[in-house]
Amino acid sequence: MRSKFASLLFIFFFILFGLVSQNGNCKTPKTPVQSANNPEDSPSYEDNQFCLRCHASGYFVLTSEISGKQKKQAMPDNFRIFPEKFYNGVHWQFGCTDCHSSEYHTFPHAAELRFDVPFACIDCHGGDEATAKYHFEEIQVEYEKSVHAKLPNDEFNCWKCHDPHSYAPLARRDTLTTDFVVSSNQMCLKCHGNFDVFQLLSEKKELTEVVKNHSWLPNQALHFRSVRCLECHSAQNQDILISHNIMPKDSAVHDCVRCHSGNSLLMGTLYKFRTVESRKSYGFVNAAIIDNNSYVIGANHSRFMNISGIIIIIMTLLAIAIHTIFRIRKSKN
Amino acid sequence: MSENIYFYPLWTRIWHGFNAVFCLLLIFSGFSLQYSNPEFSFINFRLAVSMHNFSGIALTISYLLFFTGNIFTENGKYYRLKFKGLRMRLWKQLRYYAYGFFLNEKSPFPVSKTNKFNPLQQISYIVATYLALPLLFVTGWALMFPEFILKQFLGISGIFLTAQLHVVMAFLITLFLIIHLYVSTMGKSPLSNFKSIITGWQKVH
Repeated sequence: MRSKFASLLFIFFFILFGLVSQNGNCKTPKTPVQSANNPEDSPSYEDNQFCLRCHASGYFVLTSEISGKQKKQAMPDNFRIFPEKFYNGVHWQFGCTDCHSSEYHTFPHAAELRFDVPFACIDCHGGDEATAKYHFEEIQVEYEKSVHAKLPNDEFNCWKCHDPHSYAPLARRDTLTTDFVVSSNQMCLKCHGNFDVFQLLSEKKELTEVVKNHSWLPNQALHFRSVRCLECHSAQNQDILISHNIMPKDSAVHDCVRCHSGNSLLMGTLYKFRTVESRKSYGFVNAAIIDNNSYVIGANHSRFMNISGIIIIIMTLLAIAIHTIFRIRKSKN
Repeated sequence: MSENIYFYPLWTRIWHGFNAVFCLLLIFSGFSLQYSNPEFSFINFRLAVSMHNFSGIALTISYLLFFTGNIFTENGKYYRLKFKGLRMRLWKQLRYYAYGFFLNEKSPFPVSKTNKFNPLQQISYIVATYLALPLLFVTGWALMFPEFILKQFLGISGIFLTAQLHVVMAFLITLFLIIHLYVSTMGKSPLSNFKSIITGWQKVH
């Protein structure tokens, strides 16, 4: 009996390791690694140091023009720049005054400067061949349809979600870690999870009650950890990786099976980059999700297991039918 | 000469009833979840999720009571497999179902007070109750709390392996149910075994 048990154990591990080695042979595209930039290589490094003296610090120093006294003041979070993030972002070679007025060289800064209209992405990237693959024009068109673009007085702009001082493309990579989902959702929660920030744009407090508003969602915490707000709240667009047409709750996806099905919406949103690489591999539907160490009920099933399962059930029913026919014939005799 | 034996005590009949209901609910809702489709929903997705979770929890409790009952009552002895001569006994029973039954041969392992299950029944019940069901419970509960599942196991996604094991075990239980229902019609009359599991009394020769 022991030898039989040992044989079964051997077969089990043979299958298990077979699966592992099969998995190991699969060629997955490598994640493009963005090497850390050397800040001093930036042509604007010296100029930027002037601004970063204060903006990279937790405080700045005010000097009284009358008494000459000096006082430390806390640097507000939204004016704080983190050099390590800035120099690893896509705009690392830029100087502060490439985008901001040169009048900022004067301190204290004139209050009027606050009324400068900031650049939008399209102002630089529109028609730019170097960034043509990101389809900024299409992004702008989608954004114009977005609920955000409908806010009065052009209060909303690209920088409400994307920080140009640290922006690095997150979605164009092969492995989608929890960090990626968290970072993406933080963009939304920065306003929608904090009424103090949100009321700078709108007084609709109910739009910041994210947990309550999504109480209908089964396994809410798991969904919040695993998928982005964008999965349900953005319209899909074939040409761009992430549609910037953000939809209000009435137009957002509520139907679970839009994601939990063989033709999962996630393949056109969260897994779009990988989907372009491969939609089906290892005989699994929506294999890109599995490649990411994830599993979505309804969206991932094995074709091999489906077919074998159907064959086994048909054969069983056939055997039962034949047995029944013989039983009927026996009872008649 | 046939005699009536009180074969299924009340607690096993109640357990069997719960088992049947919850297994069916789990199979239907699980199938609906696995093959969910925006165009056609066998059961509404959200309802299927609730149904599957509730039935899974209920079946686990019912199973634990059955498991405990099998430890502390005589019912457990029917689930103890004797390996000696097992292959021959299985063959005899299989041959009877496939051939001897139609020639009016006597059952090689007739039901008696001491012999509740024939060898094929016994091995399939043991595999279903002591292997497939516990694996279903472990993987099912793990899928309810996926944060506790290993990220990777031997290079494969832990949650993916868990889900696959759950699906395979669910398939085996479904197959078991189909065969179990059919074989149950092979009693004295097609409905006699079904009556027995309701009343507890079984007519034996």
